[in-house]
Amino acid sequence: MSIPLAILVSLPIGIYISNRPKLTKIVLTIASVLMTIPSIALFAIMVIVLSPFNLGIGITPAVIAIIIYSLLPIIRNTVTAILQVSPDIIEAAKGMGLSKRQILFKIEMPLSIGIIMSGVRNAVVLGISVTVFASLVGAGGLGYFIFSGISRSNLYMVGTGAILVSVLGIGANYIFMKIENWITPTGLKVGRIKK
Amino acid sequence: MIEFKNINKKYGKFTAIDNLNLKLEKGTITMLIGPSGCGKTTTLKMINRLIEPTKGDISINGESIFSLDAVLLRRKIGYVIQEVGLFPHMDVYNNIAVVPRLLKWNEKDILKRAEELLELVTLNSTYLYKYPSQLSGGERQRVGLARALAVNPDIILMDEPFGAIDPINRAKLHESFIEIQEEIQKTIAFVTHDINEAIKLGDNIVVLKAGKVEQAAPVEDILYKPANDFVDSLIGHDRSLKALSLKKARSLVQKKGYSIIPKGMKDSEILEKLSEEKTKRGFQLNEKGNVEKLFISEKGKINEYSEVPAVQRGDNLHEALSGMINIGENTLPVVNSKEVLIGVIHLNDILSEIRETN
Repeated sequence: MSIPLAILVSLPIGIYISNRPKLTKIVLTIASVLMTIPSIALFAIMVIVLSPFNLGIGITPAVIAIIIYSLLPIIRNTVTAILQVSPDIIEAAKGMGLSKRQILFKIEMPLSIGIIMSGVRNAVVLGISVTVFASLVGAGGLGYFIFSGISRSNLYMVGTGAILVSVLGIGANYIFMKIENWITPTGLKVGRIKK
Repeated sequence: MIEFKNINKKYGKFTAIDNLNLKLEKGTITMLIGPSGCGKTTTLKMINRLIEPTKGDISINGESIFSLDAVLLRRKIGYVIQEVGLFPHMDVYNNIAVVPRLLKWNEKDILKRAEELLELVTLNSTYLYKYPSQLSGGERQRVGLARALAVNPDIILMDEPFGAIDPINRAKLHESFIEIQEEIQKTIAFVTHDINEAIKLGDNIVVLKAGKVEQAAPVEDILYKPANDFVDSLIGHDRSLKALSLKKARSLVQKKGYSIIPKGMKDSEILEKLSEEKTKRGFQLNEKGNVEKLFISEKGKINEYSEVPAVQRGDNLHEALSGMINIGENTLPVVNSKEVLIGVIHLNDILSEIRETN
């Protein structure tokens, strides 16, 4: 799906802007604005914008629309995650002789990964609900049941579609919660042991 | 040896460090002290180039630090900060292993070194796989010191490392820090805002104010020959009391003036033995030499005490005096690190020590 692509786009952006406060504000504003576009309208815009390239119908507009929706939660969480790493720890790392790259990969990323993953989880759940509209641009999916159901006034069909979408959403949420927990370094999870 | 030559540091128009000239001798602890904003931390961070001076040069053993790559320079200098800055996602072993791995040590050597270091800071290898969140503040501080020592650097920078520790644990950390330094003999630059800590730990003290050195001298000189009113006021009025922390209890230990009482003696026998040996107090020891009981003869009677407060031979005279004042006694037993009795210390000896130095 489009989530890996969204991560690929958002993560570097988030890391890059995290120590540039002005840029952070601008990027987050843009991402927020993009998110306020109603999803149906976004799909419509995609179809119109992409049709000159002969990509207006099918999977492409759906993928791009979902990427746009995923940007905000992932970028925002990446920025928050990296900023919450204590400056003392970064300073200690720097003072010990870690290079900027090493600080990013050995210190900042492991300490942020949990929060970043919860951003990804939000994006996935959001993405699944938005995907419903993807059937309108010919990308198929569970949305097909819902919209065909509506046009045929078939309550069972709408219901089946809706329940399946919910189940998919809840399931994905659960799986990603597990991943989040698994990927968070042990040192951040163990509690203080009383003596 | 670390040498600062004509160092200036300006932030815009504000001068943080004004023409600093300073030498930190090899194998000594230099305490940097002064009020907030005096430039003590700035001075410290210039040594590992976390802060770059605007003008001037710093050299280590004659070699300018600006001729080296900053990242490589830092790997050769131990660094300990307040709250330690242990990496919370790594266990103790991995924290210690950070710099050795950067220097491409093999894992076997790192493990051996980590065990050695934990021993040195009076922890043990059961701590290797604990995470920082599972340690107490004092333990974290010890691990922080072990981590700074990982690749055996000649120089260690410490920025208020004991600042966030409660007084009791801080005193303990001070003790072990002094013992560790006796063993490792590193060149240490140590930032503190606590004059008592500076006197207790330092060989030399550098007093800074508004980016200028007010006085840089051995601890005794700071105490007895303050260069100006500022240094004088920093030390405060209880100079003699503070000076007591420079001397160890073991320098005044007396092997006379007390008796050793065998087990199972009756009070009357003890009285007889004490008067025979012309002493007023007797200790009953167990087979290891630990003090079990104290007998004091008073007006022809024997008072027996089973809880006997003792002075460690490594304690300083200030602590010994506090111990006496706490229980209102003029003589305390002195023990070594295994709690074995090695002698006693008398109030009168401490007083004549004060008279001599004044």
